[in-house]
Amino acid sequence: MSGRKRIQVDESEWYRLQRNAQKLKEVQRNLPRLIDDVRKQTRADIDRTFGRVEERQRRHEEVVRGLSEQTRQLEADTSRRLREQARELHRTLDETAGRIQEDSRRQLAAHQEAVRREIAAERAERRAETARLSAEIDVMKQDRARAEETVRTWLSDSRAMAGLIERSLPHERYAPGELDRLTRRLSTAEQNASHGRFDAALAVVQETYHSLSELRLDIEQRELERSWAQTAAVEALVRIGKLIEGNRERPVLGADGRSLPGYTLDVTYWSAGELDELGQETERALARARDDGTDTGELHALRERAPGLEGALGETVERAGMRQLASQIRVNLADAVAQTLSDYAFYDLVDSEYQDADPRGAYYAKLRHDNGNEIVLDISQAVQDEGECVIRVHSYDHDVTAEADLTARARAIGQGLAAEGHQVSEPVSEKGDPDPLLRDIERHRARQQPRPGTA
Amino acid sequence: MTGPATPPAPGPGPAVERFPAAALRGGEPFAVLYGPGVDDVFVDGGHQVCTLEETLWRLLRAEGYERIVFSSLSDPVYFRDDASRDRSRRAAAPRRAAPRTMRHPQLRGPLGGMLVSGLGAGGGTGERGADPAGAAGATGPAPSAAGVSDPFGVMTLAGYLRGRGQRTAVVFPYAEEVLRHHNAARQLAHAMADWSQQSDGHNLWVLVFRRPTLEAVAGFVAGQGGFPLLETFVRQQMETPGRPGTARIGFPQAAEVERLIHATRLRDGLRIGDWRELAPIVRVMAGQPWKARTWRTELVRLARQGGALDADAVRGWVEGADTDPRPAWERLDALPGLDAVKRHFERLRAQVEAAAALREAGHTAAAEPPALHLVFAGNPGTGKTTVARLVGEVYRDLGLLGRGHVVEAKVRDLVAGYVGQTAALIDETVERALDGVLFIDEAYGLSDQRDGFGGEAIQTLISRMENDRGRLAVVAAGYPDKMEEFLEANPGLRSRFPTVLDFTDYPPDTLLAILLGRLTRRGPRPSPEAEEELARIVAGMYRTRDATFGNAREMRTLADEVYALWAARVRRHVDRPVVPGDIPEAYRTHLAPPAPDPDGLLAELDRYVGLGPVRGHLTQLANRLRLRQARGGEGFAAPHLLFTGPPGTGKTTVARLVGRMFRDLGLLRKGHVLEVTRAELVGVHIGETAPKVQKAVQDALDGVLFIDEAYSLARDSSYGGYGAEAIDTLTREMEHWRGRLVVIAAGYPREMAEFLDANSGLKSRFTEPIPFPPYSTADLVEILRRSAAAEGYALGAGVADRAARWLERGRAADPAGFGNARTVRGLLEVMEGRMAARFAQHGWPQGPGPDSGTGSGPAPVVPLEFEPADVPDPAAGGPLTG
Repeated sequence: MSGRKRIQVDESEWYRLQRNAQKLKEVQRNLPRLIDDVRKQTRADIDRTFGRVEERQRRHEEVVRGLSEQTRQLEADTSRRLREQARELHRTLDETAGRIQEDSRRQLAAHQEAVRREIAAERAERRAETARLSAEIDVMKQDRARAEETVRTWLSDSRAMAGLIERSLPHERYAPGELDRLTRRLSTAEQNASHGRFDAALAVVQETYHSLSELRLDIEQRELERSWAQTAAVEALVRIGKLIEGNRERPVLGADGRSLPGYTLDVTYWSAGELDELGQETERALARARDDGTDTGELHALRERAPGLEGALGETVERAGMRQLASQIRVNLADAVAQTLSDYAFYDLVDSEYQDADPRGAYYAKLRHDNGNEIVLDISQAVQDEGECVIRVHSYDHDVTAEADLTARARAIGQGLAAEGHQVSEPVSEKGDPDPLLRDIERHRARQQPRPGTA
Repeated sequence: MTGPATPPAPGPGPAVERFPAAALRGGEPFAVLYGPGVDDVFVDGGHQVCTLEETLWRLLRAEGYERIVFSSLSDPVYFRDDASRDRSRRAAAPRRAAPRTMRHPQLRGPLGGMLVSGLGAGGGTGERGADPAGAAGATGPAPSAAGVSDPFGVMTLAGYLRGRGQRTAVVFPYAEEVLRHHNAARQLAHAMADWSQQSDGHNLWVLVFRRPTLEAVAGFVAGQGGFPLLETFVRQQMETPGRPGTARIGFPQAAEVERLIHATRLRDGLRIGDWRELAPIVRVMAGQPWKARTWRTELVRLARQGGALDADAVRGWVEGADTDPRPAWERLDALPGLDAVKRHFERLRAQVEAAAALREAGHTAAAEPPALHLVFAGNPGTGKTTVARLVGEVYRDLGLLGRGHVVEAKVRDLVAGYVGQTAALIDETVERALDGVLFIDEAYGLSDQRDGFGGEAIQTLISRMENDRGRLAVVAAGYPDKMEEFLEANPGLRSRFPTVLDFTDYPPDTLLAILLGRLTRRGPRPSPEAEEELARIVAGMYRTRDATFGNAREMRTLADEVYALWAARVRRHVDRPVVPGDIPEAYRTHLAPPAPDPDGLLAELDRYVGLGPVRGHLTQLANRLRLRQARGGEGFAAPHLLFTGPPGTGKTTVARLVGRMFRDLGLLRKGHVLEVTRAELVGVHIGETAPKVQKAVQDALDGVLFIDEAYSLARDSSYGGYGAEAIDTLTREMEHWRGRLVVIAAGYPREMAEFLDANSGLKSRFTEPIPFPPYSTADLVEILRRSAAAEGYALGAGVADRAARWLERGRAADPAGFGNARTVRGLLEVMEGRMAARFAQHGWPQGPGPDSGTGSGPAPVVPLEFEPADVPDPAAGGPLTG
């Protein structure tokens, strides 16, 4: 005959500890190799991206060199400027790799915008020049051969430009259908030329060429912007990835907030999969960022997910730390109650173990009196990750069956705990007899699962 | 309770004499300790001063109890030694290895033994066991499990008692507090009931009550209401001979007192004044109902003050302490007289020696220990108390009693006024007297009580004498005949008091020696004259002693009074001796002054008319006495007198004179006269008469018992009345109190002769019949004249003649009823009435009032004269006769 009594332990202690554990939320960023690792990985990504850009630009220059005299100058200038722009961005990103800050990002953006404007202004100038040249057309109206020659040149340049765009630029991503439209215009100009209407053909081909040239420039710059965005997203996500790896183990903070030597917080273990999940999520985002098919908008979005992931990491670490502390608290409570029962009731602690020997679960402590009576303490969290601790006192008394005596003993235990300074509720009787199985502490060890990540 | 608990190493034998270990091996479930010594300290064989708990611990350990557990209100379970504690719990009370670590090292969390929360980290409540001194080693106080709550305390103790593994004693050193305030009284009561059922002598539950007697313990337990079983146990123990489950802890015995003295000597530097005095000092101290704690305080104070322990110091504590260094035997031998008493104790001593020798020779089945109870029969002051005190010591020296102190009890200390209290009183007194002598003075008072609770007292006393055999000697003392009655009062008494020792009154020379001894011990030295007078006084006191005579006590009183007067006279000149003037006046009556001249003694008779034969008789008596005194001999016993004569012849008047005269002659000490008649001496129911006569005799002792119309006592003899019994009793009393009582029997001559015939003893005792003849007419007229003159009247001319004629006529008309002087007094009253009537008729005479006189003082009173007409007509006779 026995009794089950439930004692609620005050939560204020929990909150005090939680305030302490919140320090864990500040994830550790100044990991010793974090910046290097991030930079190394980011650089590779940058080099790869900008290598592609340079390669393309180099091919462009070859195309430009094959252009007629009249367009070569314009395109050469533009190509030079584009290369310069890309190189500068490359250099800047390279320099700041792994630690690019928001304001420098804005500066860089403003600078790029200025370069864009400069290029636009230069090209406007060139076009004005071209327009002056077009005045020759009237002259050429009289000289049909020369006129035909001019048209054929423009058509050739245009075909070269269209071919360049067609071959090397993701025009369908940025200006879908535009190249087709311009190509059709060129066909129109060719028909006009074949019909000898050179003046009409010249107007169309000149206009189309410029449109193609603009299209090239636009795509080039957009592509540069995307490269940049990709670099930023990759860097941010690589950093998160590194942070996750770097926070898999954390120091244990003591009551004073300082780390306790000799103890680590195994976040992977205590987060019970949450950290791994976070890592996988980050990996997925990174893969997405590295995918050249990912557009700029998504790349921006991917980059912007990084702070959220970092926050989630902090929370996971905090939760893990808190769970570890809570686990210790359960043992502390067992110690305190065992002490009280030792002092007040002459029970001795004989055995104790976590549920299935898993420190993340409830804690059981068995006490035995000289006369053979036993008490099993069952200490658990009322709700996972919340402050309320519940101590269930399961008494197994052989000497007395009188309810009055058992109640007196339960009350004495409560009084003893209160006298020891534990803010506990009046013991509440729970229905039913205590489970005799609870007295078998050994079975928990038998059911122990190997701890993941530990040998 | 975590007192200084370095338990003394268990030594062999009893640690302290007054701590009876028998109760711890009585085989009872409980051992109840009580008595005045339970909160005392104890001095053990190693001269260590121990508390009850320590002493008890050691006794229990010596009795083979391996685990000794204590329980009090504040500490429901505690130990005084590490061994007991270690036997009780698998693990020692856990202690914190370091700050902010858990106390149970086997408890490990993810952070090891770290204490992360504030839970249980408190330094106060949780750290009791962490006292470094306590952890120092096995010699330190055993860490207690303070705070064990009452329900678990009971559970724990009950478990220990039930356990079979190791012999366990559970001790409640403060049983009253626990029973009164226990928070789990229900469980405690159950545990007791359970234990009394299960107990088999293996384990023991010891309860210590701060109550003087078992009765008080039972009363207390009953008063708590919740522990009926314990109450039953205590009451059963009270009825059980030897009371195996209980022990009374009394006051320290001599051996312990001596150890205490030595302990104080060694530790506090107490000086011993004279080593030869130590034994009697120890004896006096052990005889006092004082605790060792009290003695220790006094001894330490004495040591601090640099004083020496000597007889003076002891007298400062115990007034009148007898520090006679001689052993009890010598002091008993030195007592005057008491030969029979001394012989008895000599025989007892021989008996004990023989028994001891037999034991040594291997006769294990030696005789039972001798009966210790005694009756001392004797008058007050015959040394009964002194001997009783010595008896205690003698018994102790013979090894028959443990302590040998004497508790003196009066009947009123033993008998209560209400039902049920008497037994408690007896118990309480007996408890005090255990291991010593209970001296009940005037013990017959127990049997004397007609409707009190004396019978209950005797019954209780007998049962205690039986139950505490070997630990109690009762000495019942009182007057010899009363003690006989006492022994008869209950058939159990005679067998339990096999020895009656007679303490006879001290003879005069012994009394005088006692008197002079006390006087000289106090300082003054009597002059030969004073000594001579004191000798005569003592002789007189002895001769006139009655049942209340205090023997030595009277001598002490006299010595002290003489001392007081002597001191008042000599002041600082203490070399001056005691002189006769220092003897108090009250005692001088015994000095029997020389018989005065009978003329002077009898001058008073001259005022009366007639009485010639009386006068002659008394003169002769006085002269005989003078003759004897002149010859230097003793006086003689005052004679009983028989006054024969008709009424009104002055017998009562003379009886009063005789009392005064015999006192003046030194024949009676007081000389008062008690007048009685048949009504005062004869009862109407059977058994009433003798006490009436005895009472009258007692009242008249040292004076005169005057029985008027004594013949009326004998008158109903033939009708079965009790007059004969009165006469028989009176005869016996007269013989018994010869010299202290004068009986004067008076009556008509003829009837008095019948009276003397009624009892053969009477005639021989009334050796001096004195006739009171009727008055002659002339005498009667003379009486009338004197009587009238005494009232301020004179007899006018012719009045005497007419009165003589009236008286003659009256006597002639009724000679037997004539009242002589009484008739004359009646006649005078009639004459006064007639005179008054005369004045009422003719006007009142002018008195010497202030308005009629000169105002210079009252005028000489002129006697009023009777006229012959005031005398009734002689021819008519009259109703005045008789």
